Amino acid sequence: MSFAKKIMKIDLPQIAGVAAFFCILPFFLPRTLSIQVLFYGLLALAFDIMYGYGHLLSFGHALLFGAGAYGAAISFNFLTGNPIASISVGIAFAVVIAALIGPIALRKRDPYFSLVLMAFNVFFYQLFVAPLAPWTGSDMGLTITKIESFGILNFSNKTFLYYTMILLSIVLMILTKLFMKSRFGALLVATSESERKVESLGYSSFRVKYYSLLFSAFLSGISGALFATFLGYSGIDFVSPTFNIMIVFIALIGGSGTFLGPFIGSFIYLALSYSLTVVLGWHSSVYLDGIIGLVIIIVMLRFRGGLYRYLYKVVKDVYVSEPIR
Amino acid sequence: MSEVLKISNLSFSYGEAQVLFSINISVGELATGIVGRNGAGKTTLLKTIAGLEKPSSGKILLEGGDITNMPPWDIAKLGISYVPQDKGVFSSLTAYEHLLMAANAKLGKDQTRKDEEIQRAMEYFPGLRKVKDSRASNLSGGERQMLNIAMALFGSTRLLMLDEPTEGLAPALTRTFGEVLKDKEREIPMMLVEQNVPLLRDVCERVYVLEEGRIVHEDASKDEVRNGGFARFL
Amino acid sequence: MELGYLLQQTMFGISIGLTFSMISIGFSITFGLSRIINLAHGAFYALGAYFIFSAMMVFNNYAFSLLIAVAGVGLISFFVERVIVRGLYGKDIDLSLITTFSILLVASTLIRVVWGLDPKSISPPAFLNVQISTGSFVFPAYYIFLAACSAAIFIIVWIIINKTMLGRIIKAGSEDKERVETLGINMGRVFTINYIFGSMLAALGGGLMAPLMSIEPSMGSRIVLLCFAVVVVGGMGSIFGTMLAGIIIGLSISYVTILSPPMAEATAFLVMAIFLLLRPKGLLGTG
Repeated sequence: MSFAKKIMKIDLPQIAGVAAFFCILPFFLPRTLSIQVLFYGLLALAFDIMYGYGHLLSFGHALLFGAGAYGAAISFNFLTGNPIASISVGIAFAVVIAALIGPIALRKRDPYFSLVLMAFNVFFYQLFVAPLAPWTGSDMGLTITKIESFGILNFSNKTFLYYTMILLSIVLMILTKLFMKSRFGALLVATSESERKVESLGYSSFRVKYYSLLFSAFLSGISGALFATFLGYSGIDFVSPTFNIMIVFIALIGGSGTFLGPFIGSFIYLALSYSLTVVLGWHSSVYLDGIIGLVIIIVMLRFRGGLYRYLYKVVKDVYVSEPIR
Repeated sequence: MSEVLKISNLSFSYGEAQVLFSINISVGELATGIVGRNGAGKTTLLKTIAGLEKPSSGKILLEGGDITNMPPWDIAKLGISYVPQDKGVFSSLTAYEHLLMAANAKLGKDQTRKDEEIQRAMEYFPGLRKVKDSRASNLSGGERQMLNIAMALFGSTRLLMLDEPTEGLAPALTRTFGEVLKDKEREIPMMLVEQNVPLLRDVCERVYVLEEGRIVHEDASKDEVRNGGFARFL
Repeated sequence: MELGYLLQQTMFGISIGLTFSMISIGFSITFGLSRIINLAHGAFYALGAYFIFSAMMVFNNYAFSLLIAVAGVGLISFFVERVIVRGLYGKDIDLSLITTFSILLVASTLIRVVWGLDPKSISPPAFLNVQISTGSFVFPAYYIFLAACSAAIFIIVWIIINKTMLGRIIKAGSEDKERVETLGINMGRVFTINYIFGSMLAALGGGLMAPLMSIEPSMGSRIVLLCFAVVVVGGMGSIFGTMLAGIIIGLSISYVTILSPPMAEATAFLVMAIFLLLRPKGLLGTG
């Protein structure tokens, strides 16, 4: 496919628009919050690859995100201050976990997929809280004590770092778009409709799902690693099982199966959470869970499964326009 | 000839795809046949009457009473018995337990009547008595069919709906089945979805041909049916 | 390590295992019959424990408090079923996963708001709060009580499922709900009865386990994953399978507690993972 066609396929203007949005955002919201919107958006995007495309509801993306964050943080503190190396460790951690859990989780579809991932999420959460506490800081989280600057990753200037992160995110978004619009993305959608059809075309539906999960883990892991690197901190909430429902919320409220949806959802979720903190004080996080839960229940019941039909149609439009060669 | 079931302008859509288009059918006191190619909408029609699907428009009247949007269990309690195409039996229950369940559902608390009707079912189908304690998963196709018919006949059945009852049955069994139908047809109004032309010609007083969700032909009397006009469409 | 301690842990494992089985029955049947994953099941378990805690503060009578807890949860589960869960039947299973997870979340938030974050505890009734000794082997009488209660409930459920009309309807409905409806049976009512009964068993489990562990807000989400593990290991559609699975998981947890208490619960997931890899149908699964 010619270069020009490839550019059109991945819709660069859309990515540019998103990047521009995040460039402007720090003028309205605190910088830390802005970067959080960005990375939660990428995380929700990663989640939505499995859910919006593959119809596999993951209750384990908090684990993958947290693995990236903790992997990077632990590497910084115990291995090397080199950001490239440590971020890579974070990514590797997330991908390896997905690689090991994948075969177990993908044995059957939902609800087994969802609950197996949730079980492993809880497993690792317990691991981080208790036995691995000396390395992870348990529920106090882990503060990164040394980061060396490396080329454009200049940690002495937070503003510069912020825009560097946006640049990196653009690369990630391009990669994700390439994936979503590729034959692979179409195959993933196809497995959600009929695994038999996919097999009859000569592909292994397990491999399609598995590699998609690995890509999703990569995207989640790098988001977590970059976020922790920016914050200088990795918290136990990243890996908390209830974080998963927030990810689901973000993906759904913004519009599952779309590219912009996760970012819209991330903005809505964090804006909501931030305003709640402003209004109710620091204990508001307790109420936030419950409020999000209530909103989800109401949204789910109102759409009465029509939400999935709506999402499915959207995804179908996206994928049908890219016929499998 | 009075009308047992009257279907007026019945339409049904599955999501965005319309399956039934303004169907008009009248079922009399004897047997009414519904024929058509696969996918014409015959099973959907029966399911909609049985209350398993909600029509998008139209009316279904049972002896004058509107049953259009009733839940399936109320429709069953009114006397419409539906025997589906897949000859649904429950593999984890014995044949006898099936009869107990059906009797209990249709006859409520009247224990004497329930026992009587179960006994009567087993007399009418001696084959059932033999296998009454076998798990339904171990029954042959013919035995399952007997079980389904027996279950359908508890209580006062005002309409018996059968979806391809002889499908997959050995020819001898089909003949037996035909005899059972002719025997019962005088007592119980029936709606019969079938591919078996001789059976339909023998038993039905009326046959409708359904094609892609529409009625395209009607043989409205026993003579017309015997001439087999409907068979052209298969 | 002495034999006495090992035996005690074995008893403990069997007791809590049987209780896990009892708690999991509702979850399993709801999955098989109503075809939804009811993560709110964990909320009813947690509320059972919290209700008995509060009731004990007022009445100081264990049996009565247990009754109140179970009845209270039964009532709540009725409303949850009517208002929320009803809208989930027949829909995509993801809908039930997300919605019931949210119910669980709302419940744990309410718990945190009403009872606070710090763990609560209650003691077993005085006459059970004793050690029984046979020879050199000593163990708490409460383990026997727990095992006996759970086993008894289990037997009752087995009888209901296999010897009553309701049980027949549940078995048949788990296979082909529509067929049962066309026989004249109101499955909506059966779904509701099943949901309430299952939730009450979860609350009962919560109340019975309360004296043995710390009552804290996250207990709901933890138990529901254990229920899932029981379903995976035992298989769908078999009461006996559920019981065996519960005991296996109970024993794994109690043995691992000897080595590393914090990771004990996580062991259940390892057992679950092994079964998913080697025997996805479960021990005695029919589905």
